[in-house]
Order: sequence, then C-alpha cells, then structure tokens
Amino acid sequence: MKSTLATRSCSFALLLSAFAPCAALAAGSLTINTNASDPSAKKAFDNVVEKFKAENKDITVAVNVIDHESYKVQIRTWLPNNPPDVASWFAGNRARFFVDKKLVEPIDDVWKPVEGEFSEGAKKASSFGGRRYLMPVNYYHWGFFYRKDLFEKAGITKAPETWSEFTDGIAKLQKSGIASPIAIGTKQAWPSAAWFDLLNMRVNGYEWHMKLLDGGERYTDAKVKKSMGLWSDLVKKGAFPKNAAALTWQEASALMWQGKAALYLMGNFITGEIPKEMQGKVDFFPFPTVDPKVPSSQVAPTDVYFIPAKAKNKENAKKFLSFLARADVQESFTQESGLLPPNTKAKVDASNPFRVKGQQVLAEAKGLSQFFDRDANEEVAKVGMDGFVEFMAYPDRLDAVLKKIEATRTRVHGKK
Amino acid sequence: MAGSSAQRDKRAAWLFLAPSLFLYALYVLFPILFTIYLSFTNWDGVSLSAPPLCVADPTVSCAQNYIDLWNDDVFWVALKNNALWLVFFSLSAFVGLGLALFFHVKSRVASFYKSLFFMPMVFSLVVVGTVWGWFLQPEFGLVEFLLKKAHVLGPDDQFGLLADFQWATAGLIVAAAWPHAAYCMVLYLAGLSNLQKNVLEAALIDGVSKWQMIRHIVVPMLRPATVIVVIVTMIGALRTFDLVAIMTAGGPANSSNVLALYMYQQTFESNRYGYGAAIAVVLFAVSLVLIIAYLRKTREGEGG
Repeated sequence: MKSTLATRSCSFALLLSAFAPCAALAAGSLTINTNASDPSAKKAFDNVVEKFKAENKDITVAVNVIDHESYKVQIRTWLPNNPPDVASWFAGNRARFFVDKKLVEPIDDVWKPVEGEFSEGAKKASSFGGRRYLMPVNYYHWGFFYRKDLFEKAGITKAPETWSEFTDGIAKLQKSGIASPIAIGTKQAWPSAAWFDLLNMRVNGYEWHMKLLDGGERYTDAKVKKSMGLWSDLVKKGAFPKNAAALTWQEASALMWQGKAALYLMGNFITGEIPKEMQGKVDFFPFPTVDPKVPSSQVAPTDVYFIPAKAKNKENAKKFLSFLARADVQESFTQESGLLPPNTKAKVDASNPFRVKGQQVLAEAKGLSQFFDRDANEEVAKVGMDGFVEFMAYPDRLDAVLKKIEATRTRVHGKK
Repeated sequence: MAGSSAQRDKRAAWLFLAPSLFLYALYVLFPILFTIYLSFTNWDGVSLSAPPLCVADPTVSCAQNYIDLWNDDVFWVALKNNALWLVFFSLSAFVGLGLALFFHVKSRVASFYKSLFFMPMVFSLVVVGTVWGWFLQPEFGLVEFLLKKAHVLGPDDQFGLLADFQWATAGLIVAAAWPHAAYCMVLYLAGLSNLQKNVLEAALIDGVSKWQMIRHIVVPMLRPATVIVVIVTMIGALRTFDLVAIMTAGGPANSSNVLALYMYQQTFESNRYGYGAAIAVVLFAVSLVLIIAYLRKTREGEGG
C-alpha cells in the first residue's frame, strides 16, 4: 500500500464518522472520494491515480474508496458539509439533484479543449441548464446476450433486428424445447426496468421516454400502455421464467448457461460471469427496432467524476478531471475495468468482441439513457420497479400497476 | 441526622446512575426523540442544518407523512406481515420448549444432539438467510430437488415459494424459526435446571402421569423463562429485517415486506427520511403497546 499518512488518517476519519472532517491536507493536495470498490474497478482507478501522480509530482493525492451502497447514503452527508476535491457519481438525474442544490462546481473550462472528443449522448448526460458539471469516465451497453448454439438449434439463422423477427425467434426457441427462453431474475427488481426502458424508447422515442422519467408525462398515458402491451404479450406467452422473482440476476444467468434459457437482456457486466465452457458460445445483439421511424437510442449507465462546490483544491481537481478526460487515460482505464470509454478518440481493444460491439452500438445511438432508477426520481423508480415485478407475475394487473406508479409520480412531480 | 444521610444516599444513587443514564439518554432517548421529530419533516437527507419542523416550514403539512402512510398499500401489507410474523414466529417457542423438555430428560445421552440443535443459534442471521434462500430457490434449490425425488413435484414443476405473492412470508418465517427455536430451547433448558426438585419429587410420589407433570407442574414453574421467551419472540418478530432483506428484499413487489425493512428502503433507497421516520415511529408504538400490555398481564398474574 502506497497510501500516505494523510490518506490513511483521512479514510480513518471517514470510517469513524461520515461527519468527521477529513484531515486538512497541505497545499498542493487532492482528495478523491470514489465508489470504485469492485476489485477490477478499484485496480483500474488505482492505476489512473498512479499515472496522475507520476505526471504531477507536486500534488499529494489521497483516495477514499467507499463501497457502492454506503457511498450513496454517505454522499448526502459529506457533500454539503465536508466534501473532497473530486468525487465519483452517476450521470443524469441522480446528478441533477445535487446540481440543483448548488453542490456541484461547473466545469465548462475543463470541457472546452475536449468538446470534440465526446459523443452528443455523453455531453447531454453531463450538462444541466446549458452548463457542464460532470466528466464521464466510463459507460457500458445494455442489450441481449444470447447462446449462439441454442439459437442455431432452434433454426434462427441471424440475430433479430426487428420486433417481429424477435417474437418469431422466441416462438422458435419455445418450439425447440426451451419453455421460457428469456432469462431474467427480479429478486432485486432492477433487471425488469431494462425491459421498460428499452421498449418504451423503441416505441415512443428517446425524447418522450426521458420526459416521462423526468416526471413530465403520465405513466397512465396510452403511449406507455402501448409499449407495456408488447412486454405483456411476451409475459403471457410464458417467455420469462415463472419464478423469476426468487432469482438474483446472477442466478438467472445460470439458467442460460444450463440451456434452460437462451437470451438475457443485461448490461455488459454479465460477460464477467460467462463460465469457461460457455466462452465462444455467447454473443450480443442490441435491442431490436420496434418502429422503424424511431431513431435508435440505448441504455448506457455512465460513471462520472465531478468537483463539489465546496472543494478546497479546485485547481488540482480541475487538473485531475482534465486528465480523466484524455483519450489515452480513458483507453487504459476502461481497458482494465472492462467498461467503455465515452471519449470517442479512445480505442477499444479488439480482443473482446463484446466491448467492440458495444462501442459501435453506443456510437450509433441518437440518445443515451442512464437506466430507469438513475433517470427517474428515486421514489418513483422504487415504486415503478416493484410495479414491473408485479406486472410480470400478474400481467392482467397492468392498469392497476400503472395507476400506482402514476400516483407516486403525481405526489413527487405534481399533477400534469 | 437520619434525614441528611438519606439525602446523601439519594445523591450517591444519582451519581452512580449518572454514567448509565447519560449513555441511555445518548443512545436510546435522543434517537427516539429525534426520529419522532424527523417524522414531522420531509427531510431529504441532504440539508446542512437540522431540517425545519413542519410548523416552521409552510411547504409541509404536519401530518403529511402519517396521512401518506395511511394511504400507502405497502405500509398495510408490511403491517399485516409483521402480524403474521408475530403469530407464526411464536410457534418456534413451542418447538423450543419441546426440545428443551426432550433434552432435559435425557440430558447426558443427548448432549451431542443438544449441541447440534443449538448450532443454528450461533450463526449470523445473514448466514441463515443466505443458506435458506438457497434451499428454497426454484430451479436449483435443495427443497425443489428433494420434492422432485419424492415425486411430490413433477419433473417440470418448480418450487417457487419465495416468488409467490401469497406465500413468500411463510418461507421467511420458517427460516427465522430455525435459529429461534434453538434460542428458546436454551432459555427453557436454563429454566428447567432451576426447577424446585422437591416439588417434582412430591408429584412423582403422588403418581402423576408424564403429561400431567408437564402440563400442571413443569410449565407453570417455567413461567419466568416463558416471560423472557415471549418478549424475545415478540421483539424478534417485530424488528425482523435481515432475513427479509436477504431472502426476498421484501419482494416479490413488496408482498413479503415488513415495517423495519420498508422503513430502511424508504429512508435510504427512496431518500424519504421523514417518511422513513414515520414508519419507525409506528413500529416503535406497536412494539411499546404490545410489550407493555404483556408485561402488565404477567404482573397481574403474579398478583403484584
């Protein structure tokens, strides 16, 4: 461990209490709070920090790694009171909450030199009210991961691109003996929300979907019913496992490795779960088109770093964010974490076909959403995702479920 | 002289009490009062200073959290589930009593088995929840496997207890009863070893049957142990959180949620600190009423 005394005393203070002030560091220092706590993410971030230190020998860097769930709770305490100089967070509405409370420093000057290197989707996700606040460092794609061998056995020759090809494929898989071909586990409710996000974006378009999640449209709208209708057809055909609500997303992926399911709508992190004997048998296709008039958009949860408004070393913090924005940094950072670089100048190594496909899908997207529970208000998201789980068990309750979500939306965002 | 010494005694008593009273105030009274205070605010958990009370904040109506609670289906489901827990979780106390009687009689022979039964009590509830979650899993679980072997389930059937909107709570209570029965057994074993031997011997001389012995002599004499078992069971059922969080996360769609977990979810996942506090206050009130009522009743029984 190369942590300095300052680092240790600071993380110790954090351990003791979320209120404890971090040890006041000497001038030329930089404190970073990050939720990059999974082993691969932590290692990738450590290396980035080492590289930054090598380029900026006069800056003492202290990093506090806090696990994901605690981070979400604690940030509410230290961000307004004792913030670090740089902190990790999520793009989209989760960040808007803090921006609206004036707890985030605008960083238009950091963005200026790299404007041209980022996609429109990434820029949109980093801006609020015309100013840039966030620096995206990685994102990843969502879509269907599927068993090539099972598709071939069922007589499906190419990955489905349209909704009718998709439903035909499901029927063929069911005929081939896989009763519930689409894996999903909703013990934690969020995997269900990917279905809602992508279906609703495909049917009603990115702009309308984002307006809905922002609280500006009704969940009881006929447009929502239309996209839910497509989902309902699949549920009623038994395409999803009967007891999905008792499985975690990892357990549900085992259904696919065992051949009890053939495809899975998931984030690219599932590729880390592919067992050895399945290597080469799994491939990826993006969520199919439903309405050819609706331009393609994708779900791409984006991790960002930002400067708290009350940070003490803003100059160093900006230096660090400019460093994180660089194509070469994002390239090596995402190479190690297995995620994708939002800086389009950064290359993706061809040895991992899932990343190559993902990079291409995201580059072609006309809009990027962050995922239901990051785009929608937390209260609405919780009720929404529980509602989706209920709907998947009892598709006939669709109207009641939508009414429930709408009631929460009304309470949070007001009548429309 | 006597008066002043009594006064001195009083002062000494307060001095000796002071440290624990201070800790009690800091760790018990203050959190309770602060939670009640929070329940009348709509704090989002971010504000710098303490959140304004509803009377000082024109944007909030004082009873809002409690009105919302009244209209919240999930709250009623959670309350109902807590009631189910209270009723069915108590059954594990009978199992504990049975085990204790069984092992007390053959205490020397059975000490090995006794320790086996005692074992689940040592496990953290997180471990118990994880293991039972695996047992009860559809598709891969042990229970489904055994039921299929025994031809209770057909080859294509599934055992989806934890995915069932009506029955998920049953699976949770069974898992919770496993370590709790062991706990009750230990409490009753301690009670049994304190029984007055001469009473038992007198009963034996009078020629009572085994059942009469248990029903009319042993169980009434176990009363002090029973009081503790009932209170521990009541509190266990009301504050249940970890098993539910691990085995179903309150799901599917909140059908197995309980007040303690719903309070946590509303506070830290939905960031409704005031609302979460209101749930906590209700849970606190329910526990208080039940426990006071029970203690009253037992004291009346003692004629005190």
